Amino acid sequence: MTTRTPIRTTPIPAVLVPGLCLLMAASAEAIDTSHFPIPLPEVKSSETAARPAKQMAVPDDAGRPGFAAKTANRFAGSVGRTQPASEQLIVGVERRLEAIRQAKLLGLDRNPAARHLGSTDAVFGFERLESSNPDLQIRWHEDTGVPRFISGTNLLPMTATPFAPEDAAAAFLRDQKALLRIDDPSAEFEQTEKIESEDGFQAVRLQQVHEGIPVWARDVVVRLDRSGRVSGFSGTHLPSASFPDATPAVSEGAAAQTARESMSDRYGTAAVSETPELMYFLPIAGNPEAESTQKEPRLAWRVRTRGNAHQVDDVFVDAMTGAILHSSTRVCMTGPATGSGRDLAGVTRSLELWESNGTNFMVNTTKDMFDLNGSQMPDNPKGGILIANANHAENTQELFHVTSNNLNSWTGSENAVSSSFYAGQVYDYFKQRHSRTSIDGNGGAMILVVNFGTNFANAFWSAPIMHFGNGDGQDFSDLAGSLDVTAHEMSHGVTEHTANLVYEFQSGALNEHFSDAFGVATDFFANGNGANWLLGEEVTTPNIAGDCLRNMIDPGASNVAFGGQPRHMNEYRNLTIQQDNGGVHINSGIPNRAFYFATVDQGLGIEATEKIWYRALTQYLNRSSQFVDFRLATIQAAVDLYGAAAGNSVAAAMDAVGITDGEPTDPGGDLPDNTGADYLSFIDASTGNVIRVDLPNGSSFEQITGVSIAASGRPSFADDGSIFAWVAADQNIYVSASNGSGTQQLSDTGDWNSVAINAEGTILAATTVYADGMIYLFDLGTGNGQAVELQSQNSSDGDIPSNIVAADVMEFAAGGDYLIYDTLNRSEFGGTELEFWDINLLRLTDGTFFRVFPSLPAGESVGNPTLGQNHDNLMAFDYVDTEPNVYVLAVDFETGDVGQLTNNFDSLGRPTFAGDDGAVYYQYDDGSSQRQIWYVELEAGGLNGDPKTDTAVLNGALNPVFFTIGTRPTPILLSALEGDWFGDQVVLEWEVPDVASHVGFEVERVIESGSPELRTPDPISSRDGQDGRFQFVDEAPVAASRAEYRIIGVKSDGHTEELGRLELTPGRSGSIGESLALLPAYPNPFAGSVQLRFTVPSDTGLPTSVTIHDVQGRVVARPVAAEQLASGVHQVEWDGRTEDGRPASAGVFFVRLSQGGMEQTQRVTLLR
Amino acid sequence: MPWIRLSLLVAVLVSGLSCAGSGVPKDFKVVFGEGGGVTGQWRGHTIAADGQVETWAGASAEVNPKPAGKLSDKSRSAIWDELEKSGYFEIERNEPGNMTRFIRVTANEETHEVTWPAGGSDDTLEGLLAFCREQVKNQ
Repeated sequence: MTTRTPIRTTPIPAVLVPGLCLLMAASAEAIDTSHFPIPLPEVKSSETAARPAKQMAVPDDAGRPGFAAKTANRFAGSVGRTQPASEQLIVGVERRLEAIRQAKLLGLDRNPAARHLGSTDAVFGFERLESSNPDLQIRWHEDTGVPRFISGTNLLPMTATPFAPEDAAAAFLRDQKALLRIDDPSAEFEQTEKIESEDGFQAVRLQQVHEGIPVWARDVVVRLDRSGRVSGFSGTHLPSASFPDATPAVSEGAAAQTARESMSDRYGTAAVSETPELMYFLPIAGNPEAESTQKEPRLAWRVRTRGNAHQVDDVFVDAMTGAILHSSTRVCMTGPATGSGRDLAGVTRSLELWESNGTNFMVNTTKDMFDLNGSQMPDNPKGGILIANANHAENTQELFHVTSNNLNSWTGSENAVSSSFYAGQVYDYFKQRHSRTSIDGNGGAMILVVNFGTNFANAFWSAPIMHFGNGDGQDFSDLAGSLDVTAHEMSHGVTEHTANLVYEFQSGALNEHFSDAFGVATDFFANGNGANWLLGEEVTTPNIAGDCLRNMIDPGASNVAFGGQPRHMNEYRNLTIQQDNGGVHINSGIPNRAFYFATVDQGLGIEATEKIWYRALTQYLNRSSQFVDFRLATIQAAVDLYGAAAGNSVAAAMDAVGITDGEPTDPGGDLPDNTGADYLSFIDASTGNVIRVDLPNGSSFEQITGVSIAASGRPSFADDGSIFAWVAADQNIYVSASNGSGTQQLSDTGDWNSVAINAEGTILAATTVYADGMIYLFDLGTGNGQAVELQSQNSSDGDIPSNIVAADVMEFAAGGDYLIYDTLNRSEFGGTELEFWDINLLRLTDGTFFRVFPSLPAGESVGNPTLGQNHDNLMAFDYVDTEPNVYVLAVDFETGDVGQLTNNFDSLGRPTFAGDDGAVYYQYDDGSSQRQIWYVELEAGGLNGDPKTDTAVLNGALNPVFFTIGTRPTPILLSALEGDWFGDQVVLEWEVPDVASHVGFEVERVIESGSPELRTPDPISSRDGQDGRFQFVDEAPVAASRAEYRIIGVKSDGHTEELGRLELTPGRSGSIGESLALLPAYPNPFAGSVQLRFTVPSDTGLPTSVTIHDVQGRVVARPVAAEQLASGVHQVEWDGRTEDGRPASAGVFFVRLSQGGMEQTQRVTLLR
Repeated sequence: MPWIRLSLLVAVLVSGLSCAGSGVPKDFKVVFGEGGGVTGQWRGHTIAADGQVETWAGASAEVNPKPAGKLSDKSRSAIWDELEKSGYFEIERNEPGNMTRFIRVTANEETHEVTWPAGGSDDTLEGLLAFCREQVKNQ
């Protein structure tokens, strides 16, 4: 370690000027602390859960194609069968019994129980039961008058020797034969089973027979307790008198033939039968057939008939008439089945179905993702592919199964056949090519709905369902008839579960692109050489051959129905949110073509390209990724998968469509200089208090904190320097005016580590002392808070996963919604735990994280980031190598250049930019004797520190933070815009104050009130101007009385923004400097902030104001408060807040631009 | 005196000539439709303040408008009543989806727009859209 000697020989006192050590009660600028102390908020929930699958109802409309009313009845009848009459039955019997008891007590001869007690013997039998069983319960079959349930303690009088269970059962039946209405129980019941349970209870089951012929489905059970006493009876037998003659009139052969034919008709398959068995048959209760037809048992042949493994029926053929009395499914016929059906193209497709009791449902359960245990078939097949019918409704609140009672007949459901078949192919594509199990990657069910709407000429994804319309017959035929449309829609689901690209502007165009790309890729997977690079050609304009929805080879080709797409970034359409969500279906043509170029022109082949694209989507891209992020992601994915050559191929494909290299992030460009008073704050090393000293004189030292600061509690200042926040030694958060007055304590939990405040002083970021991997964001206006869980970054040396322990130093970008921060990470490498620091960027608008330095060699760290005062693209930070030695470095995000400011040996520098970012203050702390702040200037035109300027400036001071008290001027976009329209030419000239702010310019023209036309097929490069001045000559519009020209600036990331517009008439010149005018606000309506653009005429010397008024005319905000502005086009942002920093209520507001006595007003709408 | 009476009579007549459904703002205009999906096409209707109906279809909403008849005052009034009754003006929703539906109403110099994803379960908005479509269809 080298001892550093300060240049100044006179020590600079780092103590407070006496008198200022006390806090001052009055505050120069009050902060609303009515919500403080702020409790730690709960982490907000993430995406809402997918809606549960709809309940399916089998329609009972017999007219539905391929569906029989009988099947419906069977299905309906098997669900939730209850006996609502049983309650009443029980009550009725109890009343009758009570009546009997009453009658007995009263000695009445007439016995009310005769209704069920069919004989005197039955009465006596009943009386025996009653007298021996005070707790007797007895229930009856109303239709037959026999007991269905008897329970007591001793239903059979005991003899000295206990009966064996079967003997006791037989004895009971004999004893109560009258009650049971059985003539000869010994002959009419045959024991079939004896049951002994572990607790000592026993039961005997007996089958009813009549004249030796079994009675179908009629048996009884006699129960015995542990002592062997008969304690219960239950049965469904029929009275002996019910049965007809036992001599059949129909031969068993004829019966078998009848049964087989019946089975074949039902299932469409040949049937075989076993030897018929003579039985008595009466339909069981609850069967609607029983109630309407057969009331008495009939002699029947039971023919066990088999179609296939799933089709085994017992067919009952009337032994007297030969008619079929009943078919009873022998096998629990529920399970997968294979059938076939014609699809929309007339092709017969193999279908994987689900069969349940004779009904075939279009539910494919054959994929390995299917989970029977987790399913409720057929409505909720976990891991199944389910096709449902919306029945032309415009919603999916009621969906119907697609069913048939014939495996191979699906007439009228051709679109469902197509859907089912194609869905299986898409599943296979993602599974085999990308090892992805279903849309969500976790084997979630795939649900496709056909017949959505009436003449609905579209298909769409709305989680978790894909919807297909039938088309209108003109623009589209049934959209289920296209494999790539099916794959396209399913891919939206994949995107939703991965990068979840926001469906607007460029991210939305990427969302659409990935669906197109995987749509085409699925086509190649399924059809090989039979595939093509067209989307939806099977269903687009059915009356026009050769048309398609999109063309990946040439997005602007003439066979693209409904207008072509841009092919190149120079055709990029800058659309509003109201126009196709910013052109998501339009600008997707550009990445579509890149996909084709990568595959074919660059020779990567479809399989490699799709893998690269899939990796990019699932592992690299983020919600609001732009085209440039897409380029970076696909190139990196190609390198990761296939090496540098593949990366170059993808880069060439991107170049070919104009998606050029650029920074993945654009925290902001140059900011207007804040010309207020400069200060440097630092920590007094001896007291821990924060001191500020005026710059450049260094003549005034003021203590601005009354309590000592925490070691990590670096103060953070708002951009105008008016307030600052810090964490004190008590680990609580404080805010104060920058002169130290009005200090407010914001927390009392005592567990905060560090804070940062944004440029406007409205948002506070904070970290805790815990290893929670979180940053907490607080809205100082509302008190609302949010916890942001930081994403893990790859550790040093490749893809070793790491855990984020905690964040520490944070700083908001002054010019944009970014927060830069460092994090302590922990990972394991070769059995050794490694810790390292890393620097990341959080985009606050959408929560996207960015790694600033993608990879660090093991043992190295970066941290303590700070952004430029006027240049958000500049960052200074500490870099620690493996020795360890610390260097203070600087990086330019726009160029990627890195420079060394100074070698700080063994001390962290904690740098801060100063002035116009031409210099940096940093600390040197050896932990004991030397604690100093040093100053170094950057070499001209570079990022390296000039050693000649590297100077110690303060002793006993640490943690410098530069700030300025003052405001930045309103930015100007165009300093001039002029045009001449003479003859057949229009000449435009414009001047921009900062050429570097755009890489190029485009010119649009609107003739009369028509649509904007792009007049510059290739953007004008920013390098083509002279001293910031540019010219464009246009062919004048013919026969037009006026034309409006718009100058569009193109940013380095592909974003475009309107800089100004000028209306011209023939034979006239025009200039934006001629009038005070409001340009259209954008976006409008808006949800967060709105860009207000306006022109100021040639220097009038009058102040300009832009104020926001509510509908009552009250001023709610002043984006520009009576400023002297140069002529030209200006832009200012209103963040939707009132003057006191609170969010304004949703509604209509009026933007008023005024200068002197002139005013212009424009309406904007704020959405919440 | 007769002069005064005549004036009064005229005033009464004029007031009596106000349109049926006088609660409907004079500048009441409705634009409704849907678009997106796999095709990217948008389709819908515009009902102007004077009842003229346009149908449109194209790459974004309201492009390629074509005349499609005129709505009666009664139907306009019915739509207005339905919007008010349903609480439409209190609905704050700007939620585009893969397939987006929207209803935009201009009345009393204010514009209120609601967008929501098709395939959802918002009965109110779906019902309103269906109602508007029905009025246009039945004109």
